[in-house]
This record gives sequence, structure tokens and C-alpha cells, in this order.
Amino acid sequence: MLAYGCAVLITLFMLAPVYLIALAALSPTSAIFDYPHVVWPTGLSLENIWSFVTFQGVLPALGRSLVVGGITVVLSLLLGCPAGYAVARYNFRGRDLLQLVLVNVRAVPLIIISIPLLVTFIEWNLYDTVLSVALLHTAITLPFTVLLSASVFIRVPGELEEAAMSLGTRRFGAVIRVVLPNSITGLAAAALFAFVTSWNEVFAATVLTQKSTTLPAQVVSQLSVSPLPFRFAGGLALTLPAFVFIFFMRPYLFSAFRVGAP
Amino acid sequence: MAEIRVENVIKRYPGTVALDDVTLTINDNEFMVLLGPSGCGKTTLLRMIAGFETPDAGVISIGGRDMTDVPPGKRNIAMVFQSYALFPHLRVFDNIAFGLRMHRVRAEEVKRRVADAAELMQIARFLDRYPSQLSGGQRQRVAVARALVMEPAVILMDEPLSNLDALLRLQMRAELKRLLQEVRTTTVYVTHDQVEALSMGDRTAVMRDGRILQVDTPMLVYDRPGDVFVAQFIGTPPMNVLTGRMGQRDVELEGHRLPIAAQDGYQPGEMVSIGVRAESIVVTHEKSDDAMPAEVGVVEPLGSHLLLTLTLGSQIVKVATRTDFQVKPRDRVWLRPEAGSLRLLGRADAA
Repeated sequence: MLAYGCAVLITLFMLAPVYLIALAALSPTSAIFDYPHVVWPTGLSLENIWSFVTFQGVLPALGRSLVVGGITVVLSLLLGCPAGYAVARYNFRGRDLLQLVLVNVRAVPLIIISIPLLVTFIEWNLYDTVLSVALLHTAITLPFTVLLSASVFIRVPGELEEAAMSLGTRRFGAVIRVVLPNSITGLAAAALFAFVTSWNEVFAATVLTQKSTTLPAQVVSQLSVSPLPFRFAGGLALTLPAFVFIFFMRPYLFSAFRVGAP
Repeated sequence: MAEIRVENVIKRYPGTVALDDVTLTINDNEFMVLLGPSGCGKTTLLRMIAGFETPDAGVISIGGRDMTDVPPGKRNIAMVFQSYALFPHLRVFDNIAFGLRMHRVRAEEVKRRVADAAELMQIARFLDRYPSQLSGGQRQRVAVARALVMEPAVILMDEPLSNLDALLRLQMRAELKRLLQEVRTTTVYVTHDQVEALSMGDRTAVMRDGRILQVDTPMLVYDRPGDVFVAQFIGTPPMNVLTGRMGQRDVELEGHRLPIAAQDGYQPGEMVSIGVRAESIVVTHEKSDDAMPAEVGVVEPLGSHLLLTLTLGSQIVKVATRTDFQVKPRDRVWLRPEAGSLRLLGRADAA
């Protein structure tokens, strides 16, 4: 009961700003300036959203954000899962050190990575491209993907793999047919995290791009010079994809089957 | 033909030798039990036959083919794991069909063979369920079906009954034995349970510290253990191991001379370990010339028999006798080993 109450409180606490932003974004523009201010819906209007979406450059930036997020998810899973598998299954020299380093990468301020990368990307002609932002976002999310996927793989009993191998698969086949299907939940969480991290990342996206920036970077850079309705609509637009993503990942996050016999 | 030959296999892990020059031949269609305490190397040996471990030295061949470096999936073996290792994301049907599909068996044949195996293991009703929806015993049946359906040359079982409760284990033990007699494949069965080893195997290999101590039929392992360890590892209660002095044609035990078959390698006057089963000692209230006096310590009625713990001179002896034998602690009784029941187990200091 206490746990339930706490859960409700925390949820309310987290949802309150989202609700207020959504309320302001979806109300008529005039409602934002009403006084006294009301915190329940008085009328539905898409005029704020419309003005935001039709604002010059918003739609292309939204598209770029999705592309950057997509590339980040694919790259960090593609690179992170094999590394996580190695950490989980093999007792190789330097494994503990690797895990320690991976954790500590998160402690390095982004600015320290961003400036040298900026120089490198200019040399490689990647400056001001979607790919450059996606690469940096991959670098940011990769340590977490490795650690998370390792903790997911380690929970799949090694005997399952051996059973598959005794029945005719190679190790790679066993991973594809047995380990991955039983890791969907955790890998979905890793993908989710990578996407949301990429979506919310502003600093690197601002540094590495000029014209082809992502939506959050664009909104943030224009925030101080934007009218209030634009800010609320932008805020909603920034939170929405994360919610949609979580909504679709939800079945995997609360997947029905459990790994391993009780 | 699937005779398994393990020749001079050595396997070292950091700090230990898991298998120390092991040589073992398992005949075609034989049910071989690897028995030993945990850490004796029995599971390592099994996993090596399966192909999950590679020997540091030595050769493993199955059906006359050198399999030392062949991956598990190409050895024509099937394994039943201690944890069953059923695939949680697949229904029972797909679990059993997994291996057939990996070997690209045609769909109709997969269906037929899975149905047959499920019928054999009496799990046809559960084919649509996920492993998490089955009881332990049912999972065990699925695991066996998944192995049998491959019609492998060799079936490997790693303590398959150890996760079942006592009653179920008893049932499955008999059923597995019947089943494996029917399908007639070479079987290697790892267990630390000496009752399983005695009741199921054609032969039993007793292992300790990475070595095979004795390979014999269960009755021989029970009746004629090769050394003190085997004598005390097998049987409930374990064989009595007493210390005596070797004579010319007999052995002197607590001042009594007992006839024993002469054996090479022992000098008269040496201290030796003598094994004798609790049920091979006759206990009486009446004194006789060839009997030794002993004092009763503990009396345990075990339903089918009475287990006495006695003091014979300075040594402890366990004796099984009929339940109608009237006795209480501190009684003086007379012990007489049955003719030919004494076993020489080695020099006493070797124990």
C-alpha cells in the first residue's frame, strides 16, 4: 500500500510538468495569457501546434532528429550488444577494467569529447551532417548499451546456448535463435534509452551542426527569442516522441515470459 | 555403432586438474553412469564428450570417429541438462522440434517425429504450452523428448533427476531406465547419487579428483569395491572399513583371525583396510568360536531391517539385521562375517 502510494506520488510528480505543457500547447493561444490561470482544459485548439509546426525549419529538424535517433539506436545496439555479450560470457583479460572504464566514460564532460570531434568531423567533411551527430550520440550511449546488454545476456543461462549448440547450431546461431529472443526486454530498454538520450541531447547537436541541427537543439537555440505559445508547443513536441517510443516498447518491457526455470 | 572412447584425456583449469589422464571405453548401446562427489570431474568428462570442453591432451572418439575437435552439433549426440535448459521463448512443440529444424528435416517429418516423441514421454497434451507453464516433472519430460527426437547415437544426461522431488525422482528413475532400454542408444549419465548409479547403469565409473577409480557393473562396484573411497561412497550404510593385520591366509582383526582369500601384493604383518558390508555380518546373542564380541552403541529400526552401530574392540562397525532381533544399547553381542564377505581394500595407511 505504501509502495503503491509512493508510485502514485512519483508518477504525479513526473507527469505534472508534462501535463501543464500539454495543456498550454493544446489550448487556444489566448488561454495562456488568461488571468487567473486555470489548470484544467477549457478548450481544445491546435493553433499553437500549427504555428510551431509551420514555423520555418521545424519539420525538417524533426525529421533529422528522428533520423539521428534511429541511427544512434541501430549503431549502439550493433556495436554494444556484441561487446556486452563478450563481457557477459567470456572471462577475458582486462574485463573488469573495461567495465570500470565504460562506467567512467559517462563522467567525462561532453564538451571534452565534442571539441576534438568537431575538428575531426570538419577534416572528414562530416561537419554539419546528421551522421556526425548520430556518431557522437552513439559514443554517448554506447557504454550504457554495453553494460545493460551484458547484464541482460548474463541472465540468459549458458546452458540454453549449449542446448542449442548440442542440437545443431553454432554459437552465433545459438545467440540469434536463443539468446536474443530471451533478451528482447532488456535490449528494448537499451534501445529506448539510446533513442531518448539522443532525442534529448542538445549540446553536441548544437556544436556539431549549423544548418542541419536536431529539433531540441533548434528549439533551445530559439527559445529565448520565441513567443510563449511557441515554447509550449515546442516543449510538447520534444516530449511526445519519447512517449510514443515508450508506448510501443511497453509490451517488450513487461514481456510475459521469464527467462530461466524458477 | 556408437562406441565412445576416451583416451588419456587431461583437462586443467587454473589451480586444479579437472581430468587427470582419464581413459574409458563405453560400449555401443551401453548405459554408463559416471558417479562421484561434486568436483570429481564427472561433469567435465560428460561436457567433453558433448563437445563443450576441449581436452588439453588426449582423444575422444564416438563411433570410431575422432571427435576431439568436432563441435557439439556435429557429434550426433543429444544432451539432457540438469536445469533442463528448455528455451523459454518457444512452445513445447518448437522446443522439441528445434534440433530437427536445425538439421533441416522436412516439416511433415518434424511434425511426425515430435508427435512420436511427445507420445513416448506422455506430454502430447502440453505441446502448445510454454515451458514456464509446466511443472518440474513435465519440463523434465520435454527435455528428454527434445533429446530423444534427434535419434542420436549418444544421449548424455547431466544429473537429470536432481531437480525433482524425491517421489517423482523415484518414478522418473524407473521410467528413464525403461525408456533408454527401449530406444537402445549409448547413454552416459552423470550423477552424485549412488542409488541412481546402482539402479540405472549397465556399468558405473566411480570418479574422484579427476580420476576414474573403478569401472564395473553396479553389483560388482557394490560388492567388490576397488578401494576404501569406493567402498565408503557406495551403499547405505557405506561399507564398513576396518583395519587389520595381514596374516598368511587370514587377517587378524581385533585379536581374531578371519579367513580371507590370498591376494598378491600384500606381505604378512602389513596393516590393511578390510571392507565388509553391514548385511554380510551375522549378529547373534550366543557366543561361538568364530564370532567376535562387540558392544551395541545405537539401534536404528529402519522398517525393512535393523541397523546396529557397534564397537568392536577399538573400531566402529555397522550391522544390518532382522527387525525381530531383540537388542538394546550396551548389550554384548557376537559378530561373525559371512564366509567370503571380507574385501581387501588396500594398505591401511593408504586410506
